Amino acid sequence: MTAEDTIKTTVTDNDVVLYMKGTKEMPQCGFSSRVAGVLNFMGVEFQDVNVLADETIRQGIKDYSDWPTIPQLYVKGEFVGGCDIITEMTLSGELDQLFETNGITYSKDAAEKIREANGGRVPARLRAPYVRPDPRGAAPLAPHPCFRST
Amino acid sequence: MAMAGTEIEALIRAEFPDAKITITDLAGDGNHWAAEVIDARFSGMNRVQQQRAVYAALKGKMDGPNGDLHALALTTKAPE
Repeated sequence: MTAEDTIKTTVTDNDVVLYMKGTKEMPQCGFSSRVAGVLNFMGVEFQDVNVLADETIRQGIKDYSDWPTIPQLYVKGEFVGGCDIITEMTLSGELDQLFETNGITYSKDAAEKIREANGGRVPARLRAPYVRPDPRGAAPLAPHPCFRST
Repeated sequence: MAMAGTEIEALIRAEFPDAKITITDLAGDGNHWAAEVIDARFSGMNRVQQQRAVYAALKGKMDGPNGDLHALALTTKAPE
């Protein structure tokens, strides 16, 4: 099977798939860790694919979605976005809507907790482009992964 | 190889001449950047389409371990 076939099968057979560096138990990059952390915190069942374990998939997934970075989230076979988009969608509530539309089980309470800890549901135009670190350290979105992983 | 913020802005500017572009050095190390791009062309596009267009403007600088640009956080939107 080509990488494209393998990817197509994976995203078709699993409702929610995260292509990431490392695994959901042990992410190896701050950006992957952030998205996996959000999904774990929200109780979403998802298939993780470690791109570091397979160079053909690592390149293949970028070609598949025409998207140059990892992580990449797929819901019902559709590419949803990378770390920045998932962060925005989590805070705006769009991720909740996406899961609801697609019949994916998730914890609304957990999603609200993430939003509370990150300054609540704020219109995108009023929000700083970055999620500020939460002084209570409760939210999976903060601090920015770059500062944590290096 | 790190990239300068002005270089990132110039690449985006070449594709989006009328955009409002804000580049921020997140970690102060010249290696972790954030770019906010506001452009009328984005109206009617979803976030994936918007950011794909910005990545395309960066012409492969984000590509893998050999890319010049290690980390770029993107925010894209159409003007209000």
